[in-house]
Amino acid sequence: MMKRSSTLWIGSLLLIVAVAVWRFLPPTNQSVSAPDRTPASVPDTARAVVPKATQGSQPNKHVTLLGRMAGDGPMLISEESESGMITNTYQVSPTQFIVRVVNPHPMDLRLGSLDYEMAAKADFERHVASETNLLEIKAILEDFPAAIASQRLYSGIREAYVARARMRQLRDEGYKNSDRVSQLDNRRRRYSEQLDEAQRQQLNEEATKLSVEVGTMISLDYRDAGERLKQRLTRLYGEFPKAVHQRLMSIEIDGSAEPLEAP
Amino acid sequence: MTQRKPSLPTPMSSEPIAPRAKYQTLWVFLLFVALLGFLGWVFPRNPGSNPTATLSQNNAPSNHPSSLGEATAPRSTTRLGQARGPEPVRKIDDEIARILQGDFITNVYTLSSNKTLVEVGKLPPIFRKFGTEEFERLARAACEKEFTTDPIATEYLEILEEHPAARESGLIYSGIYIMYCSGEAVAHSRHDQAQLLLSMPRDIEEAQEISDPELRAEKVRSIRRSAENRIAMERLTQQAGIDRTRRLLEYLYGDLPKAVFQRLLSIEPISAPDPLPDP
Repeated sequence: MMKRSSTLWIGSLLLIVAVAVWRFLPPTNQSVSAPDRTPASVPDTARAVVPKATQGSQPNKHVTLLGRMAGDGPMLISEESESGMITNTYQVSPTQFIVRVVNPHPMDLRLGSLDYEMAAKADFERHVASETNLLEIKAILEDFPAAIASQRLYSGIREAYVARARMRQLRDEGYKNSDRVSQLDNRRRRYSEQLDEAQRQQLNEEATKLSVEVGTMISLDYRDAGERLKQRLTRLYGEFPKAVHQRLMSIEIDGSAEPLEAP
Repeated sequence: MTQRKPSLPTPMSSEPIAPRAKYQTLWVFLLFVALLGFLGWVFPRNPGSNPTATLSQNNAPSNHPSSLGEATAPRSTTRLGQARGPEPVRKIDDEIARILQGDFITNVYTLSSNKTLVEVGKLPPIFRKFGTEEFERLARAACEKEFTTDPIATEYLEILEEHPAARESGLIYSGIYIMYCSGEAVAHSRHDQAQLLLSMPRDIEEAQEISDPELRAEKVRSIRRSAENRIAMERLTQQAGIDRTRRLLEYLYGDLPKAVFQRLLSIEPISAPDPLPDP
């Protein structure tokens, strides 16, 4: 009887240990690594923006499409080198590729560092009175536990602010571009009798360049800005849920974001 | 021989404890402690504090002033970023009631202390059926047709399917259709504002041809004033449209957390579905 009772107790404990071990196992659908928990006080190098192994085989490359699938329409292949330089390859038509190299601002490369966080916080405090939707961005990121735990809340706010300001700017550029195209069309129609063949040809080429090349690049850059925000916030927080990204993408920013000043 | 039931040790007891009883008591104590730890572990108090936890749609409160400002309204649960308000039942304010009756809607916009503009409009007659199965059926047909050409818009479906009130209402496509209409209206409004801004310098340039300096100055002032008023009007109309969309969705689902509405607003469809046929 005594022996059976001990077995019962030991069995119960084993059951608890087994369930505890089961509790330790990560869920099978968890493919994103846990965020970097380095405290704010550690040197910047510890939190330098380093692509994580779990982000895919080519973490600094992403493709933006305007059509349903690659090859179906215009496409942007954006690749970021180790030094932070971004090479954007735009496929504006099946036969036409445009390559543009973007050298980011030095502070942009320090995303994740304490310096960046301090500068971002100062930037937030400087602009929040005039750009009140920064409070909305802050509220959204405060709802995201990883942003709070990372101690890099203001870095995330700054990223969202920059992305939405850039998208606003690109939207305006798109309107200006369409307006230029319609102005060219008007000029072509109004002065068609006074223009010679070469001038007409030049106006046609200019209008095509604006509507096809420039217009497509603006549309691709617009889409890319949202994807880049997602990429940078995933680096910053280790994960970045689609729902949080979507909420940020609903925020309107009126002004333009100036480059971040080093503290 | 009967086995003594395990019980917690009582330090007040002066009776000597047998070694076997001590052994059993120790086991019971260890088991009790392990159970407490185990329960605390399996059911953590704050799942959101888990660093790998994804966004919780229902538990995390928003700190934004727009949410806090209405914090006194009675509500048993706090949803993510949602402004607290009346109970989630179909809310029919005056404007929604007018839409359902097919009446005219009047919007009054105050642009400045001495400038007020009144806008009177009416939604298509099919909106009298808004919130019914018939509207849902028509909206579904229109939206599904649109999804084939604009895959981005399927995000509307995904977002609303994640929202229990929308899922259970059986009126998801009515909500998607409303969001489509709202998205199209916002895009048009932005385009119109941009056109006003872009045409203003051209109009001013044309006005420079007026030879009379007084008339020229008056014309320039008039162009500026007119453009500014129209842009202000566009902005107010755009915001009123967004607010109306939210109220229409609240009418459909009874409940629409701010976070869900923000997610819906982030979708920028390329085009809009065909207008629904009128009854």
